[in-house]
Amino acid sequence: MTCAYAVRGALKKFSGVESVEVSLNKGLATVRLKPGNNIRPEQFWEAVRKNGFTPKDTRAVLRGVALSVAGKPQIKVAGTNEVYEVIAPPTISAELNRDVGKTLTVEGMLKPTKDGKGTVPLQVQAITEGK
Amino acid sequence: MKTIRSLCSLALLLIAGQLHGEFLQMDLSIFGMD
Repeated sequence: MTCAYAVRGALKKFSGVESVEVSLNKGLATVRLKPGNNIRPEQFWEAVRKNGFTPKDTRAVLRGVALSVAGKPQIKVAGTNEVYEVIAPPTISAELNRDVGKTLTVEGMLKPTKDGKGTVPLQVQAITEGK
Repeated sequence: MKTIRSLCSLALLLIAGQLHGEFLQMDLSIFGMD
């Protein structure tokens, strides 16, 4: 059994996971999730650590509600009730502030913390739906 | 009456869909994987 196989198995065990593809060359695991899941990225990072590897940047596509706190955009993922602070270029921040209360599909990057604790900010790169 | 009930059900489904949110896909970069 290869190590990649072990990671694939560990990620596939979570309820709400539709499929897992692991690319050895790219050092990348692509996880597709079922509608209505309540998975948080921290759960996957922990599973990766438990298998002896280090999780790095995670590109995520998610659906969430745009919020604005003191003029700063946030995204609330209803399934997990997690609220992510948003780091984004001014144009995307302005768009998010305009769309407060709307459900949007966004694409962004999450960087795991070293100890795996605390909520990480979401670096939004694009709003793909619901504008 | 049946039509009104169907429309109400559809409206509830749409509202639930709007309130819902979740991760759809994650691409995890993993260091040290062989």
